Amino acid sequence: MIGTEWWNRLIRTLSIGQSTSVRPLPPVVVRAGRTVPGWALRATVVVVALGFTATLATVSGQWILAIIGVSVMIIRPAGGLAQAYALALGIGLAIGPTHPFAPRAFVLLFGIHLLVALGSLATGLGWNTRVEWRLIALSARRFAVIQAACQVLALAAAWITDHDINAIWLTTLAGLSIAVLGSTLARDMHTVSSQQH
Amino acid sequence: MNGHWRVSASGASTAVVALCLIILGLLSGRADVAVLGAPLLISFVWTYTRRPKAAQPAQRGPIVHQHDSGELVADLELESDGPAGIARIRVSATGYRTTDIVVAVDKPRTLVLSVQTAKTGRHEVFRVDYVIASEDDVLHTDPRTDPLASVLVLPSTRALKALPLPFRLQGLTGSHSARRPGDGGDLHDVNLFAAGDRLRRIDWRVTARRSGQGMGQKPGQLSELYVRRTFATADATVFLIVDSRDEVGPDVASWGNWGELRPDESTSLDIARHAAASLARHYLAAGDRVGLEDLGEQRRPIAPAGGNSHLQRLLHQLALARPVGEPRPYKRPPHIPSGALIIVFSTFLDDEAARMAALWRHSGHRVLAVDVLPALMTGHLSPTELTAYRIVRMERIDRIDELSRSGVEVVHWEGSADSSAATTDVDVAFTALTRRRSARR
Repeated sequence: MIGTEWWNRLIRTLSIGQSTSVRPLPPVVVRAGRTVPGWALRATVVVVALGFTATLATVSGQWILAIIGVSVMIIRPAGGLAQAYALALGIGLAIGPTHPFAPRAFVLLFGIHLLVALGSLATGLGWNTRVEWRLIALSARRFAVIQAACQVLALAAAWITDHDINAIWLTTLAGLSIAVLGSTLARDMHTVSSQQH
Repeated sequence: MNGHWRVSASGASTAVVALCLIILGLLSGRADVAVLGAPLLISFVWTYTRRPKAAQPAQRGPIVHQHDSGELVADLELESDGPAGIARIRVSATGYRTTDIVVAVDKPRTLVLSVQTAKTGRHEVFRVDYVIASEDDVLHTDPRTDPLASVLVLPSTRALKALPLPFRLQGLTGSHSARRPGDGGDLHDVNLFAAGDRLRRIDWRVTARRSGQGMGQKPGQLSELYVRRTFATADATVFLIVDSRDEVGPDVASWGNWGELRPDESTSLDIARHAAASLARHYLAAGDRVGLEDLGEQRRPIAPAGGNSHLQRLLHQLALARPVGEPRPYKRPPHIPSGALIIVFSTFLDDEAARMAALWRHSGHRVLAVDVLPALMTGHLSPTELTAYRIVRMERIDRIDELSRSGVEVVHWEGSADSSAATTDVDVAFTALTRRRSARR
């Protein structure tokens, strides 16, 4: 009679036929500043993700992947999902038939940063979790500073690319810098982790 | 667990994705792809290099205090010694919906937590679980928990107009008129001066009128003195008997520990506490002596005494009263000083409190039974539950009728434990009982 048990459990879970007089418990009130609900933040992440996908997607396969990714973000916004989505967008730009530094690259620079910033904030948020508006304002200020610097960097890179300046030394230097930075951070994290344990 | 700052999964993935995009751009010769990783990398490095070396100190747990409006309030102080951060907070309390909130802690700040309660007694509220994180969630500390804070909510009181007194007042002084002659205010009679009478009690008008009216006396001849005699004053001894063996809420389906009592609804014990506290305050304000006995705990009662400090003691004891296990039935009723007025606060859902009340009444005490069963909700009961409830209700009605027949005066304490919601029916009932004593006298 597994079927019956399963059916009964489903009926109980959906509260079908149960008393409608079950009243919600009173809430614990936390007095903070103006807040927005967690579902609004999740919805914003989804809108941003789909919106910036639209700048790249040319085949239906990309939309299918995008919808799968967005669905996972809606159901369980775990850490790293927005970043993975951002990586997918970057790969899409790299393999896409576009010229370097076309306008969509600048739009995507904004979009990926926004997606990761919002995704980090929405990580682990419940539907009813309230997020203080002041926190979003603080994050927006920091976002604006970094984004402005990166847009300038992108304009500089576009200028170098447009003028066909042979910058092999610059590429090498950038590669070396990234390698040094990566190894330094990895060593530092390992040291901190071993100290804490 | 400690408060060291760690790189979160979100932060690690931000760094990895940034490096991947930059490397992808370098390998494919696409600077525009490499630039995509720049904001992520800058964001990560910005936060990571500014992380504090020391552990994040634990936040001070919430300190709960009670407001008069039935609100329990606590201040939660938050501080981040790291980069301008956020706090992911979950606040829970038994019987309440949990609240999750994410707030900015760019500077030390205080959050106010509150719950509305209609209940009195011991409460355990505000368990706080929190994680302090950097603004972009690159770094975070380990989750911490502040355990439930305990607070004792004293019962509120309401003003009452008049309350009944014992049949016999036995004190030597007080604010009530006793039935024996003595120093007091109310006129008892005018009588001949006798040894022991005070000179200031001589009624010169009556003496002058009666002078010379005896046999062989000349008019105006002073022969006998008359004095005004008054009733003595006395205080009353009142014993409050609280039946804390059971606590039932308005929802009948929750009786017998089948459901959780809601914190926004007064239970029978809350009403009993409120009623007992109101009566105690009234009697003590009138200069009477009040004692307290708990039928749920077989230990020494609080002996009758007077004064404000005694009221605080009674309120504290009332707040601590709660059902504990299955108390053994009394073989004989607790000893009460003779002549005391006994007031029993119970739901009378079983025989024990009614049996005690009847025994006290048979031993000559004036006994009041205050019915503290809250207004019940039965609309949602299943047919089986409704049948069970009807049987219990009929037994209770029979029990209360039996009490009335045995000479115990029964009052139903209307309304909730909230004094503002209480009706004036209680005042009317007690005023009627006051007149009944006057009639007996």
